[in-house]
Amino acid sequence: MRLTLLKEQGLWQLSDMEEVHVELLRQAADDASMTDFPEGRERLFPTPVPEKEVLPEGEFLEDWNEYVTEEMENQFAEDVGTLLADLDNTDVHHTAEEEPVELRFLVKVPMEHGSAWFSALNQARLMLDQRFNLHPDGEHLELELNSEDPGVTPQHERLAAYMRYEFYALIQEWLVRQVMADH
Amino acid sequence: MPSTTVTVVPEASTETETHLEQPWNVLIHNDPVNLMSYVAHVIRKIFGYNAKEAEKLMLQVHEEGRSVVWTGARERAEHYVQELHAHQLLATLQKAE
Repeated sequence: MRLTLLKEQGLWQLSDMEEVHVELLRQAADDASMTDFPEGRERLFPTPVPEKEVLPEGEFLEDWNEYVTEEMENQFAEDVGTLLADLDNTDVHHTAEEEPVELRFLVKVPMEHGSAWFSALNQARLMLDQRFNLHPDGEHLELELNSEDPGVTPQHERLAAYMRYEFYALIQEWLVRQVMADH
Repeated sequence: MPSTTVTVVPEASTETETHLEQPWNVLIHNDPVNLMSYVAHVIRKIFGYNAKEAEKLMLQVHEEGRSVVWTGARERAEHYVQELHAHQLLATLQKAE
């Protein structure tokens, strides 16, 4: 997979993608979902005052939850929609010299969609972190695949979640430095 | 001629006035997910700090768990916290000491 800035065209592109890359990007929309996930909602819509101030700030918090949270929820959903809509324009492409054995995919994205992509991928990472406890005690995840603990999320699911989390982060790091810095 | 007594009642300052006049801090709290480069980018974008100052504040968030990134009027502080939440950062407003 290759990330390229096409500044003169006002675009950036993801090229040389294998099918799995495209699938992973589509998966970000599901990963970002907060449906039936109150802990995820709490992280995406945190309280604007410290815990001890919640009671005295009652009325302010009611207004915040009613207006600010709703506005952000709409924005976050729109960002995920932008990512999915751009992915609908994914094309098959080939190198000029020879047709690759496996299909390769390409998607071109307007520069102004950079922030929406970042947001969608960030939502996905925030939710993955909450769902799969990817930073236990604030530390990086260490998995022992052989030590399955019945009753908790299977380690291979956490590992798959962690791989997606890192894949999204790779694109985000590039976006923030190359696309969002200028736009 | 009847005498008139005038009682002057001092104007009580309301709690709301005090509440709004005192300075408020905007804090960003550390979280393990948001990229350091992104946190610095958001600080620059929202508060207009230069790259060096934004980097310094971001590192304070990362190393000390939080950083006061702005202090001033309550209304503006609320606006900044809203902006930071819209960028998916953990932020709160607190009365400045």
